Amino acid sequence: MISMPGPRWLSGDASLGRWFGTDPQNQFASPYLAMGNNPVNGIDPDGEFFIPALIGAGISVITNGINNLSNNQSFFNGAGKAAFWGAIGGAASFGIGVAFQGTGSFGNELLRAGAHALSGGTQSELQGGNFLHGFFSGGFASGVSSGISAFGGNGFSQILGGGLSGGVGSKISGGNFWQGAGTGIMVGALNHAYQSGISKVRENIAKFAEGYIGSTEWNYDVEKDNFGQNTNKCNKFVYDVTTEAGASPDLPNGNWIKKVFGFGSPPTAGQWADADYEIPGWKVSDKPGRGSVAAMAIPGQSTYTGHTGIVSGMKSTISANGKMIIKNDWGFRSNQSNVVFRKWVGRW
Amino acid sequence: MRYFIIAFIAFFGCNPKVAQSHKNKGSTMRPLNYSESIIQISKKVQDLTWRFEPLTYPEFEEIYLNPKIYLDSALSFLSNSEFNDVEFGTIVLSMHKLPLDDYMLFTSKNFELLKEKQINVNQFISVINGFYGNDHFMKNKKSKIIQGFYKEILTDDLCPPELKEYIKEII
Repeated sequence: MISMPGPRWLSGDASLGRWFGTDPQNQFASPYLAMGNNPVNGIDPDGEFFIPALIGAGISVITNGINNLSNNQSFFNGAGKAAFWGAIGGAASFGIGVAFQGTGSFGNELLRAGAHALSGGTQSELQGGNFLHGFFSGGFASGVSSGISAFGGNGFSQILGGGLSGGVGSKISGGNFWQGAGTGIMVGALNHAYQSGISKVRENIAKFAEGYIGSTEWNYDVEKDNFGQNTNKCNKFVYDVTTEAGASPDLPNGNWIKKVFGFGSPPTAGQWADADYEIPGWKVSDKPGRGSVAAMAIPGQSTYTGHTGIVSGMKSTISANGKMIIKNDWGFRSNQSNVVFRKWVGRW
Repeated sequence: MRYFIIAFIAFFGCNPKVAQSHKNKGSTMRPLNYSESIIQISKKVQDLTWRFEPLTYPEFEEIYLNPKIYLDSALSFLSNSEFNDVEFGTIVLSMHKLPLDDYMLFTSKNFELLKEKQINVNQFISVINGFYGNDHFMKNKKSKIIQGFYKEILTDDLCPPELKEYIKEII
């Protein structure tokens, strides 16, 4: 019986072909519609799921190979099928991670483990295997990875814990250890470790911004890198802090020569505030948290496109007002309804 | 009945508030009072976290797009009223689109206020360094009119030394 990782995002009825996880790039009217809700014929235009799928395929081929060797078979026996289901499983684990994000409350983690369990079981069933093998490996791996994360474990320990518990979960339900371990490694890596990394980056963005409160480095009348004296630098502050935290929004502005040589300019406040404008790794969100970016625009202006800052709390932001870096409730005031928030979601 | 109609027209036709409100129903939303508008908008923006935030309010647009019409009101507000930092910033921003000659008049008024210690040096510098958007002084740094104004500042005994230092650095 084969219990390889499969399409975790599919609901119990495979014919529905619906996603559990949201598309991190928000490419469709509903975030659940990655690839136009057609994973068979469609493509994921920004490739957000592509790399997780590749990683999933790789993990699956390796664990399948190890299982083969332990049974005195060729390493690559069934590698194609393993890669196929591994790719689906990898993307699905990533999708569940996007839906549940970083480690949260006990309830959140219970639901996440449930999603992985159902997804794992469904994959197993779709491959003609036993539902329970996939169910236990996915659920155990997710639960253990959540626990490791909650106790401060790093990404590697989450992957290792996920792999071991996934194998054990499969084994105690009568399945194959290595196949369960493959599922567990995927759950640990592409959901828990990845999302923990995202959460850490977000927290660092807020922490770094807090460290600059009172600084005059980004003042209107001082020079800062390629921003001259007497220029507005609220977007420069956001760029510098996010880049320092490992969440660079890139340098999309300036002529092509500058861009080619890495001397472009950061996104303007107006670009941060334009929900239709794509900023790599940053997703528009109506639920801002620490480390999110807040932005407001002035329609029709080119010189002063708007204002932007870093969210540091439930109702507080840190931004460059031209005279210093300040923390206040800007962006959350009752008369500010047109604020756009973005969250770092990571990029490959 | 005829007397009633005449009385009605006489009353409402001559009532300045009513006449003004009819005027306001046109395509432009001219505020009744510059000072009131500045105070109201300043309350809305609360502080100068984003000094261009007034531009997001439609009621500010009328002043912003027609600064010449409101220049006298702005000068009068600065002369006769007490104002806080946000209101001052909103006033300077409202004069952003003035042509150079008119902006010189506005700047001269601010220099007077500085000498009278009604505004501080940083506030005055924000009028000339483009902090509120008007970059006449930066763009036309070498023009006779601006060089002349700087000379006047430098020779004025009442000018604070910090401002003189700043001017010396930029000319």
